Amino acid sequence: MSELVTIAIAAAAALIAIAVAVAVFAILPLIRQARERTGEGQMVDIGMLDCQVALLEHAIIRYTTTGEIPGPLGARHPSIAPFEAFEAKDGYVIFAVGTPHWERFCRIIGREDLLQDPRFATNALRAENHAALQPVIADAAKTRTVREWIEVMEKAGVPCGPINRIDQVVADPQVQARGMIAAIHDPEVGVTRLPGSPIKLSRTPGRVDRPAPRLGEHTADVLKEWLGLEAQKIDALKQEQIIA
Amino acid sequence: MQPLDGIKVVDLSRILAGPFCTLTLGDMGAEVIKVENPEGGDDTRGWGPPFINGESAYFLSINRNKKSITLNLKADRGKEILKALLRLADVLVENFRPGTLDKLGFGYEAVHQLSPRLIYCSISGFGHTGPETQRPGYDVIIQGESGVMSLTGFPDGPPVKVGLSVADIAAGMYGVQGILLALVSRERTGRGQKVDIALLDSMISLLTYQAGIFFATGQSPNRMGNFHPTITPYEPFEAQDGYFNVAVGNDVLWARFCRVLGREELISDPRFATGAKRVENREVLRPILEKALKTRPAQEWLHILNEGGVPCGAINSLAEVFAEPQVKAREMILEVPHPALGTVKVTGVPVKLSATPGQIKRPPPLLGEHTEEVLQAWLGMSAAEIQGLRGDGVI
Repeated sequence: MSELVTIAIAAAAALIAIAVAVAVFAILPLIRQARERTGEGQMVDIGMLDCQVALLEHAIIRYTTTGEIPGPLGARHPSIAPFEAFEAKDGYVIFAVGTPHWERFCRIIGREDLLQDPRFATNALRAENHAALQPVIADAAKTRTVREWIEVMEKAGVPCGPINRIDQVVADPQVQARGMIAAIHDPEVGVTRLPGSPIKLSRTPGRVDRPAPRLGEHTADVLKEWLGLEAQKIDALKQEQIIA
Repeated sequence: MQPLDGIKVVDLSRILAGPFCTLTLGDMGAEVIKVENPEGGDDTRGWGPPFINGESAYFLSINRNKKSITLNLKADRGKEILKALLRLADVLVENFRPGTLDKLGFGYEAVHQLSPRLIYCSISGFGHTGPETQRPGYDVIIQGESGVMSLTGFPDGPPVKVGLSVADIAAGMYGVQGILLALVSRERTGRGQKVDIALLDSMISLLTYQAGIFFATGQSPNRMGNFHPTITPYEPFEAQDGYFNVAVGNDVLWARFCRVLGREELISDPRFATGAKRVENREVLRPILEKALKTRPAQEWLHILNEGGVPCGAINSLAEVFAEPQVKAREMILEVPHPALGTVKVTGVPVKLSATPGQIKRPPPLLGEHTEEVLQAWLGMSAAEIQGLRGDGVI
């Protein structure tokens, strides 16, 4: 099996964690919304496999209409080109060149000749002739640093960006400005940092105000507040090893 | 009955993140009116190949359960009609670059004035605040900037994008959550609010344990190919005839796995005795397992491992996914009638509610298919008025 195939497997594996996290979160408000109206609860049944299938997006319809099995594409987009990572002088840079940007992009990389090339005349043709286009742009990409590319592309309004490591993500001014790195005091481990809530509500924003709990940290609190159990009863439960 | 019955959504979004958001709302019963420009509509209507009789497969995959109307928002009359629709709507979803709708007179403040109960959901690459708010946000760029690509691929190879537009999709899902949260809040207060979703925020939120590892160590985790950072073996292996996955997540499973392999001596090997030890010595462990698993075909391993209670699974192509009895039993592939195409196949609803399940009631709409219906039903316009709007190029 080619390396490309195994790389895509890696990507799919990463996606499993993602899908589960997203799916589980996505459910809570849905139940709530339905219950407000009927006063009755219900069962929410989430299959990890369902979530993966739902995430397949147009891969399914591509397959069911053409019978062609969508394969792994590395870092590129199935229907837009060039829309992927290229190796610059000092690291990787992503160019995401849609139809409106193609002409400017060719001028910036000094390959205006591509504008006359019938193989690359439309986005559909560029996607179809990706194998011919990719090496041309890969050659051009090597001539500048990531920072230099981002500067010239952004000035011209061509979508592009770096591939950040996690330390660069955390230090990113936009990430900081959006409150996406939350700090929280944990009595056990001091100040810990966590990703913030990505759901920015103007009137009722989310908050990160509790660290991950120690095992059973709130057993007594919950039994008291929710069920009205007295200290004595809670102790008895401890002795019977119902709780710890 | 469906949970969002009666909720009216005006959907100005295009491409993927916004349409994926309104797709979920539609599946759960909301009336989603997709407002498109009369010159071709949503860009993805032209994305392909493949096309099915001229309809884009990409577009069809994410626009079921919606109605389409055309409206020229550059014309004053078009703006008036949008205003009238927004007065009746519960939710607005848009994914233009920040500032675009302000210029048209439909920024959050203006729309909030018009209808204080409306929930206004914006999905953008970098969010509506912060120094980089104006940058255009494409999925691949966000996958790169959020660190996700630095974590994907093999350590000695280039960074790799996840095989789906996962930043767009995650932002769409967070958009759904934000809208539902705002609906819950509105039930209590009667007031709407702005839901501001960024692709970048969404991907950072998905970093979860990888972010945790970085915060704990100060070291950027590197990409590890198919390895899990804290569990092993939890990765694909090559059988005689292809790849399959094994997920040995704890010591009990480890013992079972060793027994199934007929390698019981590994259970007592101190180098592999605990999860932490196996991760520490994975470079030693991996070749031992590779050699053992090479000896039979994948299907045979899957059968034996399943019998032995060891989590494992095939690595499916899409053809294999849709042939899976479990996928069919869960109704995750459905066929819906389509006015131009006969039927189209779409993925099912992944959120299974017992009392108020989601449903696929209508196929992806043709451009402007419901313009007359919506203008009549929502705004009470007469056929003559609608004809006039068409003559003026407003719809």
